[in-house]
Amino acid sequence: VPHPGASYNPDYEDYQELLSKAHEVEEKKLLEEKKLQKFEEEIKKVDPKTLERTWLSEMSEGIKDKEELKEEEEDGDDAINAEDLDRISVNPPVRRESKKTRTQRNKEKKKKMQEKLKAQGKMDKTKANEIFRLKSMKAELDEREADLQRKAQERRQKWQSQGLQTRKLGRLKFEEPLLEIKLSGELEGSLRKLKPEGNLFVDRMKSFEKRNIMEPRQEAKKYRKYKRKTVIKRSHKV
Amino acid sequence: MGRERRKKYEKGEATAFMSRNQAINKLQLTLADFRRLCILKGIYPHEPKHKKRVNKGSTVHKTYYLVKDINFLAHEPIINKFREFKHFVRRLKKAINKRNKDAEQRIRNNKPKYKLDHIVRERYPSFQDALGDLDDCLSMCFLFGTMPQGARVHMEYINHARKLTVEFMHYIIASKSLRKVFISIKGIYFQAEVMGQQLTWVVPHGLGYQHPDDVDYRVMQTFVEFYTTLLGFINFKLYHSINLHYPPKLELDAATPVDENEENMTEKERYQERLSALSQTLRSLDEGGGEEEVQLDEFPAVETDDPDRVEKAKVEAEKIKKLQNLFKGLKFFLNREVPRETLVFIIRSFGGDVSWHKSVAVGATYPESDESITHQIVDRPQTKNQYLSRYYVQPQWVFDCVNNTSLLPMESYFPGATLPPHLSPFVEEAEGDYVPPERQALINRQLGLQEDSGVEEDEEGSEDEEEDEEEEEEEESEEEEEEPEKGRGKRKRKHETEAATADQAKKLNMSVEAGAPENFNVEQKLQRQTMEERRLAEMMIPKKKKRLYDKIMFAKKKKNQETRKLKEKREAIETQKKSESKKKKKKQ
Repeated sequence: VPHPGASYNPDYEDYQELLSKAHEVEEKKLLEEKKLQKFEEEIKKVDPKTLERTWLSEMSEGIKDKEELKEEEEDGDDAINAEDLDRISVNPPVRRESKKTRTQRNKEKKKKMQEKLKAQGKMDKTKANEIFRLKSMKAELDEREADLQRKAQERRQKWQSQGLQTRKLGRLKFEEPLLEIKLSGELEGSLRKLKPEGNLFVDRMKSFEKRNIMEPRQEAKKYRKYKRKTVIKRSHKV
Repeated sequence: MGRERRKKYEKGEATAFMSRNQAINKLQLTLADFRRLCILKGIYPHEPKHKKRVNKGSTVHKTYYLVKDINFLAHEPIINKFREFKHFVRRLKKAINKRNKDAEQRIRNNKPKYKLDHIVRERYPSFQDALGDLDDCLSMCFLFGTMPQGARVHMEYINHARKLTVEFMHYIIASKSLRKVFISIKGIYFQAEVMGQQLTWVVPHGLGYQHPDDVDYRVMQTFVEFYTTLLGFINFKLYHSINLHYPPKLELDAATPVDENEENMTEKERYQERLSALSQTLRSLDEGGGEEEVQLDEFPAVETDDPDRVEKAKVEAEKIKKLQNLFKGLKFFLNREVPRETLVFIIRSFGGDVSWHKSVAVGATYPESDESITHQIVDRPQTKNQYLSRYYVQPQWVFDCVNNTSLLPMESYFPGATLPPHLSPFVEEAEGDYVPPERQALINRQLGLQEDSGVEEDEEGSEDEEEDEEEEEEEESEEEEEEPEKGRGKRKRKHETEAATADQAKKLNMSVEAGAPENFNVEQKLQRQTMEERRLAEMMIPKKKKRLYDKIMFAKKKKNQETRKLKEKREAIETQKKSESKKKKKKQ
């Protein structure tokens, strides 16, 4: 359904509303353009020498200078040679005194076993007592079920409400068509003098794209695989 | 121990979706054919929730289809026809290249054809489904029907679309189901009510057509291919629902003599031209049955839960009936500069007769010199040889009358006059929105609040215009205040009239006068009732929700304030204008 301001002979208020809408769109575009321009200007401000220096430093990141290499060589004398590194263990040496005896190990095992038994006994007890908790358990289960269902419902609703939105169906993003508008000078107020604005073909196409029926597309550019050769005919005298 | 480890992307979303290329490979079609098939079958791409999961870790943007959809497509018999067509093209090319004329002709004669009937039936199992999806279909068909001849689209599609839209328009005329029209800068919007469904479509303006470059005509053509099949089905059903022949037959086909314009046409062309003139009625299946008045059934109010609903429905039906016979008994003549088809369609669907100069198009029924013509539609400032017996109006009058559901005063639509704004009938103001005074006047007229003052109001430069309006507004506000005491206002007025008659009686020494029938406005009564119901409902709101309600009401109040401000602004502008014009007059 069209905007009331898009009438060929619109009411003043409706027309102003449509104009302000179009104005907003244009303003947004301008703002974006300005941002880009500003950025460009800032880049241009930087003088080429510093630019080159930063470029060099950035590109040589991680590569060692000659001086650094020299320094490293000096340091390397008192350090361990690289070849020895794989023979030497990082862990501290094992001492005989700190090793556990068999009795110690047995004791630990026994203790562990006892703890396990104890835990088992406790669990058996609670299990046996759970019969009295049947009612509350059922309530818990019900609650959980309801919760899950509610969440699923919410998810479904969200998805459905999003289904009406325009989604990204392909490589390109959907772009809102330009607002068709006649400037106040172009409004004739007569059906005979009316020049139609916009095209219904584009309108239909955009409508399909907006409703996710078609993915937005671009016409493929035509290009030659090989460059054309030009040869002057022998018969042609220059 | 342990299960076998599941591989990635063998379950879930990754298996539910398929990229377009995968689908094409699976169906063994070309991209163009695949697109065609998808459009015909109504299969649209989907955006998966997690693209990365679907695309096995990659985030490249692709077009995805549901695997189920593709499997569904794989069973379509039309795919075989596509393949056959591919072979046909291959054979034809070969024959052409070998310069084998006989073979070429033979192959051409055996060009494979396909029908879309089964797809239409499959996609729209019930008629209501199809009607619900008809908006797109109508807009597309009307668009193609008005397309000029050219290399972009095959002529047969254009002709077919044109034929079907003409048939559809004939149905709308015969069933009188057009409701709203709106001329926008893009095209002309129509709204009709067909079998309880509202259909809205747009028809492009006839002139100044330009082919846009950034539209894929092949895709559009495929849409139209399907939609024309659908519209064919729908026309058939619609025609039979109101007892008309399908394909349509004209009432006075043989009787009308062959025109000069028609001399060079074949029989078929002539028939099509006459049909698309929209000026003749169609022949009915039951001869001589005639129109019969449909009486609305009386439902006992006890059965429905809301007794007002019956009343409301009756009021609505009355309104529609009034609208359907808006132009009944009027005879129009169209000048050649007005958009003929649109106006003929509108005038005829509201019961009027219409004709044009016979050199404009086939199908003119009476000449300009006919004395019984009541309105001539003119879009030029001045016309020579005006007839005194008819009104000369600009085309907008017809459109505004339809949207207003009554015949408007013609003063502001005379040729050369600056027209009042053409308001959109698709806007429905919510409660408390700002309504510009022009629209308010229109709405009031529709409600029948000021039928008499309507003529005065539209006169240009009438100075009491605004005062009138203000008075009416005051009256309205009074009524609103008095709403709780039912009908008190009315009684008051009655008292006044009684007092007046008493005065008269004193002067005339007793006399008996015919009592005026009480003006009983059903709509006002209903309005009052709803107000009262709302007030009661407000009292019943629990305390918990009262706060929310108060908030909403506060927002409403704010909005009202804003609209009042706008109104005041407008009034100020208006008074300023008036004073300026007065000054000018004085100077002159």
